[in-house]
Order: sequence, then C-alpha cells, then structure tokens
Amino acid sequence: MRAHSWLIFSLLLACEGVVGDPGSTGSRTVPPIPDEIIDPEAPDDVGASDFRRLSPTELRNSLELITGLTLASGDSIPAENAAHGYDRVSAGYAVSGDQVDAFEALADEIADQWIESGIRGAASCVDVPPGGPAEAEACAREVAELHAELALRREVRAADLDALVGKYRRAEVHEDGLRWLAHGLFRHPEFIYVIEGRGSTPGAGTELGDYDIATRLSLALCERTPDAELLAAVRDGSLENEAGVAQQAERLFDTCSGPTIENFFGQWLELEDTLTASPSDRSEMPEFTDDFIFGMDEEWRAYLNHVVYVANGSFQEFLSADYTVASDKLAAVYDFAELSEEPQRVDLPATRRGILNQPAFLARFHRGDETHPIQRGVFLLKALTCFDIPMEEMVSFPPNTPGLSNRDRWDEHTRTPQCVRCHGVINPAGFLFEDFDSMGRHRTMDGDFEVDASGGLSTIDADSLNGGASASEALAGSEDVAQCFARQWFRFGMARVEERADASSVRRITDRLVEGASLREVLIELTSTYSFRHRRASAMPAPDTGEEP
Amino acid sequence: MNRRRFLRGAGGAAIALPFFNTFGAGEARAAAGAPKRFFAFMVDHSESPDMLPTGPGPGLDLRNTYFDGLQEYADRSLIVSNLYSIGGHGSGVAGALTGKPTGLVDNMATGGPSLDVMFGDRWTDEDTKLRHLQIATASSRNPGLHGISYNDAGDRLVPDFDPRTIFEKIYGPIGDSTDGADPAVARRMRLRTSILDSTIEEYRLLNATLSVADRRRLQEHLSTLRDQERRIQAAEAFSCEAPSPPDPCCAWSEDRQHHLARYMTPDHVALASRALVCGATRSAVVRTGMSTSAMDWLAIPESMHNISHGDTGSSNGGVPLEFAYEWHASARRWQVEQFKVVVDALANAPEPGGEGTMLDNTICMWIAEMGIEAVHHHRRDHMAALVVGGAGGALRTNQHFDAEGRHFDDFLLSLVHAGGCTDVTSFGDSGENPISEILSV
Repeated sequence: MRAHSWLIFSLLLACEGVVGDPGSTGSRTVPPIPDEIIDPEAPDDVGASDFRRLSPTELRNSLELITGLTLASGDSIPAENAAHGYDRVSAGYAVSGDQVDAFEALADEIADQWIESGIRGAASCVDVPPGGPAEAEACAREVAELHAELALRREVRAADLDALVGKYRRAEVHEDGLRWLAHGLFRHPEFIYVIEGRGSTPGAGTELGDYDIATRLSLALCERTPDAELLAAVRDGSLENEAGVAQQAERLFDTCSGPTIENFFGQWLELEDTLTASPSDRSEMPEFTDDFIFGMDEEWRAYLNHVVYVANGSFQEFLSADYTVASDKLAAVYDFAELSEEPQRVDLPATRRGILNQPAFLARFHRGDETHPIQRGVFLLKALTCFDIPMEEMVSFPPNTPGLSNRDRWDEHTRTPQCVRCHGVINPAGFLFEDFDSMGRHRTMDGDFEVDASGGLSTIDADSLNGGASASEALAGSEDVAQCFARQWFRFGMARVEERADASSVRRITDRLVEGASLREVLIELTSTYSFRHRRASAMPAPDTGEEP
Repeated sequence: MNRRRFLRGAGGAAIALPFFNTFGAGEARAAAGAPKRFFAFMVDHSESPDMLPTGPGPGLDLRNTYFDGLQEYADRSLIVSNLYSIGGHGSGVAGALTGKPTGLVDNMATGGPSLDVMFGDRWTDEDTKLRHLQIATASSRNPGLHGISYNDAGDRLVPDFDPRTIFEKIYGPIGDSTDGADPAVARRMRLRTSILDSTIEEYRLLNATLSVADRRRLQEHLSTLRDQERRIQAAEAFSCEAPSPPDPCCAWSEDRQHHLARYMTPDHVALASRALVCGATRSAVVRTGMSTSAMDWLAIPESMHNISHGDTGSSNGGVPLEFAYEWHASARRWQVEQFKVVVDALANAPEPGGEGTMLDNTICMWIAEMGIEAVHHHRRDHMAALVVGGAGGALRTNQHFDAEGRHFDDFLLSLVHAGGCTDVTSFGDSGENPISEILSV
C-alpha cells in the first residue's frame, strides 16, 4: 500500500508540476505524504502550531456560555477563512479589521445587556448604581471574579482581578464601568486567542497544562471554551490522569457535541453547501424545489445524528449503511418507501448505500439537469482519499456533441495527454455515480443511453467497481479512507493541518477506525493522542516590526 | 477638545505615536520624486497578443490594443512585456504582487509582503485612515480566497467585497448621525478610544511575555487594533464629502452562477478612486473576475475561462480563435473602462500642496493572472503589465519595453524602487535586479 501511495503522489506531482517540494511541510503546501503518516513505527511527536483565534462559532458559543446571554451580534461575526476546508483552521490568514470590529461589537452588546437587564449571578450588582461608590466597586469585583477564569482559561491571580476593577474605576459613571469590564474580559487576547504551552521553546514539543487540555477538549468536541465543571476538574487535579481526561471527553461528547460533530461532517463533506445547491435555471429541473433542498439538508443531518448518537454506529456504517433517515420532502428520490412528514429511518434497496448515495452529495454537483461526474469525482478523491487536485487545473465544459452520452462527452473532453494525467484518476471515480441522476434518483438510462456506471477508485486500490453503492462499500472497507478520515478529524479537532510529526497520533485514530469502533469512540480517541496533549511552537519567526515588545 | 489632543492629554499619545514611526514613513516621503500612491488592478486569466502595441520602443501608441481607451494617457504609460515567471492560475493569484508564487493551498503565496502593503506601510502618515485597502470580487463564503495581498509575516489579507463595508471604511458608519457636541456622544467616544488604548496595551504587554515565535499572531492583531485607532484618529482630518452609500449587498451574489464582477467591479473602482483621491489611503488593490459564466451584458456567449483557453481542440472549450480573440478583447475593454475610472479620477485631481495631478505621483498597475498566449495553458512565462502614472517621475513612461525574458519579480522590484523604496535590494523569490531601462532613478 505504501508504494501505491507514492505512485499517487507522483501522479499528483505530474499535474503540471505545481505541487511543492515533498520535503516542505509548511502550512502553505500540500498536506504531508501519506506514506509517512501511516508509518506504524513513527515515534510519538507533535507538529507545530501558532496561536489561533477562536472561530466565529467558538466565539459566539463561548460568550453565550459564559454570560448566559443570547447575542444578536453573534450573527454578524465575519466568517473565518477556512484553510483546508475547516473554519477552525485559520492559519495563514491575517485577522481582518472587520473581525476586530466584530470583537468590539460583541463586548458592547454584552455591556448593553448587562446595563439593561442585570448580570447573571452578580447579586451585588442588583442595587447599583443607587448604592454608592463602595457598592459599585463591590459589584465590579464580583463581575470580575465571576467571569475571569471562564474568559481567560487559566488560573486567575489577584493582579488580574485588580486590573479589571482598575478598568472599572477609570469610567466616569457606573454604566461605563460595566462597559470597561465587558471589554476587559471579552476583548482580552487570552479570551480571543488560544494561547497555550506558554514559555515553551520553539522547535520542542511541550506537554500542555491542565487548563490548556481543558480548553482543547472543550473546543474540539463542543466548539466552546470550558464550562464551570471542566474548570473545576482542572482545579481538583482530575485532568492530570488519562482517565480523568477521558471522563470529561465523554461527558462533553454526550452533552454538547451534537452541533460540533454536525459542523465537522458538514465541512468535511461540504454538506453545509446543500442549501445552496439550487440549479441556476429552475425551469430545467422543476422537481428541484425548495422543499427538496430542505429535505436533503434535513436527511444528512438526521442520518448523521442517527448513526452517531442513536445507533452508536461506526465510520463504516456511516459510509455504507443500508438505511437512511428521510422525510417525504424526498419522495421524488425515495419512491420505494413510505415516508412521513418527519425524517424516519427507511431501508434502502441494494443499489443505494450510505452518505454518498444521498441527494446531499449527489445533487450538489450538477450542470443544468445533467450530472457532473468530474466534480463528484474530484470531491470524493479529495475528501475521502485525501488526494488533492490542484486548483490550477480548473476544468472547462464539454461541447454538447450529439450522439454521445454525458459520460462519453466528458471522457472525450478530457482525453488529451495533458488532461489524462489527472483525469485518468478523476473520471473513473466520478463515473461510479452515473447510476444516480442530477437529483440523486437511481437510474438505468441517461436519456437515450444506457447508464454505464463502471469505474474505479485507483487511489484506494479498488480499480474495478460498478455503481454508487459499490463505491460506498469499497470506501467503507478501505484502510486508506480510514486514514484519510483520521486526518480530516485531526484537522478539525486540532484546528491545524497534520504534519509528519503527528504520524503516531493519526495512526492511533486510524487503528480505532479500522477495528470498527463506534464513531463516538473514534472521535473521542483524538483527545488521548500524543499530539493532543502536546504543543510545539511554530519555528516561524515573528515579523520584525521595528518595535520593542 | 479634538480627538488627537484628547489622546495626548490622556496619555494615549505615548501608545499611538511610536506606531507612526515604525514604518520609516518619513524617510520614504523625503525621497525626491517618490510617488505618493499605488493602485493595482488585477484581471482574470491570460492576456492575448492584442494587449501589445506593434513593437517595442519609445512613443507608446495604444490605439491598436485593447488598452485603446487609455490612449489619452499613452505618454504617461508604460508596457513591459516578455517577463518570465512560473505556474498558472494559483501562482498568478499568489505571485502577482508578492513575487512568491508557489502557493498551493487556497492559492496562497509562500510569503509577503505584497507590493501594496509595502507601499502602504511606508507612505502612510497620521492623517491616512487606511494603511492599505484590498478589494476583490468575492462572496461571503471564504472571501479570503480571493486576496492577493500579504503582510510582512506572510499572512494573507482578507479583501473586502461588500461595497457598503468599503464605503464605511472610507467615510465612517452609514447612518451614523452622531453629533460631537452632544455630551453623551462625546463621553461614549472618549470611552471607546480609551478602551481601545487599553486593549492595545493588553496585547502589547502579553506579547512581551511570549517567545519570539509565538508573538506572530498577536502582533498581527495588535497592528489591526492600531489600524482601528488610526481610523478613529484620522477621521477628524478627513474632509471628503460622502456620496450616497451603495445599495445593500449582495442579494445577487447568492446565485453562484451569476457574474459577480459585473455588479461589484464598478462599485469597487469608484470606491477605490475616491479613497485615493480623498487621501483615505495611499495604496489600493482591486481584483476583478472570478467567473466561469457567459458575459451576457457584453453579448459574449462564453466565459472568460473558455475564451482564454481559445481553440485548443474539442477537449478544451472549443471557442473558435477568431471569436476567442474578439470576445477576449471585448471583455478586457470592459475591464479597461473600470481601470480607467481610477486613472481618470487621479488625473482630474490636483496634487495637494504640490504641482500637477495626483496621477503624476501615482503608480497604477494593470496585471493579469497569466501571461500573453495565443491560447493559454495556465502559464506565466510571457507575462506583461501596464503601468499608468508618472510615479513622481521615477518611471520612464511612454514606451513599450520588451524585457526579453527578464524575471517578473525584477519588474516588481523595479516598481518597489520607483516607489522610493530603494533600500529594498530584493523582492519576491527572484527579484534581484531592477530593470534600469524603465527607471529614471
């Protein structure tokens, strides 16, 4: 298998020679070589990371958790630029002025709500301002004590509280003092940035402290900063052993991970784009209604939730289950089953298996009322086999040659030696789904032509397959796909791209996948890896601003 | 009390002032003949031979090119052709302003700074609201993907695409009728600036406790906070009257098949020209393009992508060459019209406190992702660029210069020198030798 991976990588290099030096592992180049990642002999080590900003979701979730407020301005945080497809991986993008403005607006809204409706849990603030200066300052200290540990995610020292109260004192009136406090807490660099492994030497891996572990746990599984129970676990020392960490990971997974796991799968398989899958010309596809779009969005979410939280299913089940969870909004596609208004589990015929045979995948890539096998293939290779197609190679469309099926036209269109270098891999993968039309209905005819859904997945040594269901089963049985999924979850969960140094951690997750563990166990496994417990500061030098720090 | 005096009175100047000394602005401005503004306009895909006048040499005549709309500026323009670089689409996006084109993930450059950031940082003074302004045709999903500008640390800057956001950066919040004489408003303003100063101080202090490697992220945030402070401070000196704000963005962008540039670019160039003429910034970038759909408003039935590929057989779009050139030139002429909006605005604006027009002291650069090719194969080995504007006398305009294979990065380095940054000895991956034939400094 290892030699095979090299072959694929070499092929990739041949795609116009645009892939960088394989020795280069910086965050700006193609992800590391699969060979090295699956090396079972790789020692425990950890890849480098910079401090990162909380993602928009993390920021909003955390502020609402800490303050107990619902924040309207949480809707207008500019989207983070998703490097490698995940909005938690923001490396390489400078913070924008719009983001910095949004951080200010969030703190302002918290202050507005505090002034308007009081502060949850701060009893001494109830009678202020009528109480006078001493009471006002007691209120300020209580607000600081109540929020500081949650916001800073580290041990709070007297100096921290004094600094916050000092801010309050600078205000001309009590209301402004509360505003100072809100900004002091929620625009603080230690709130907005995940600052971990402080004082570690660049180039060396450092074991993280308990506060940092708590933060990683909570952000990876629930996309929010630690709650009071997790911080209590830090203080009582129960995160110092693996069992204590595992216990908290399981608690978080079982109580708050739902939206985060949905977010991860939604970004990994780009299922979040389902709602924008509308055809450009609806008249070409009259059945592609808003209801249908909502139906396919509803289906993948309900199916994911069922596999992970109801059936306690495995990754293999997610890829190749013989059932789905759909409502009557998808009656046009699932005409073989009784469907009701709410999504419910229905058995599938043998021609359809798993997530990739659902409309959310199949109907997303179409061109007018025709399938788009190239986009299907490129996406599948990238997301499931970690085979990246360089963006340099943007495709054009084939002419509408009469007498040729859609498949044959694409084949003809990509036949030149220059194209074949990549399309020799892409086309056979995309053609496997030709037995599903542009809305995801199973078919045996493509207009006047008999459907030919033969193809193969050369990136996982499955060269001879036929039809979408066979693709799902081949992918589910592949160790390469398991490893790719481990890498994808690593990227989302660790909020950075894996490096060679992370090989043993990726291997550990892969092993759980291959042995058929439940997705719950697999996803939690990340939190017990060496990479999760350590950090290596990036060796990249800081910019020279000509200023003394 | 005005904002600046207030800051000094409150001790804020101690924090704010060192910032202005950070970028060596004084030295750059002192250089004789140095230009004061930079504008880059980046277009999509490759150029065609119709970009070039018949031959190299002095006496530029743009009439038989798709730059014919700029003929009135021919004596103040320069075309440099036959520049060599590497890569295709991705490298074109990454390397156009950085000279570091080997980015792969998200078309990202391998480092910075980009030309616009270098100039913006050097030329900005305390009355400039925005160190630099990045604008691109994009949608709300991952606008950063369309960025072509990078800071010193090599982080990609996220361009703005929503005309109202850009408008607010230049003129201040839309619908903000705050009256400085109202004591409550004045108190809120004081509070906002004091909190900002305090936040800046927090980042600065925390940074000081970190290792050099770990300072990177916070340093970048600190610079952005200072930009926020700059916007507040410079707002007072900013006296341009705001036109009516653009329409709310961007219901049409929800339709992914629509040609975004058609709607965005005219707003973008209008805003960029106002920002430059008003002195809100000295460095602006507009990127246009990003479409694979037909340009129906120009009666062009194919996408720029297919046209640009031309007739490379049935396997690549198959636009017959006679149409490909015609449609390519029509699309480019529309883009030249957009570019000209900025050139016209600068040409019609007298240089404040100096002689001539703003255009005399500006570098307006036109650049495409890829080079000149009969039919393009995603290559940059025959790059060409147009510059309009006198660059303060630093560029030898009114000529078409054949660079005979000199590196594209040498051209970028030449612009760096034309911009007065003669202390910079290399730029990008390969820019080592400025092209003396296009420089008069």
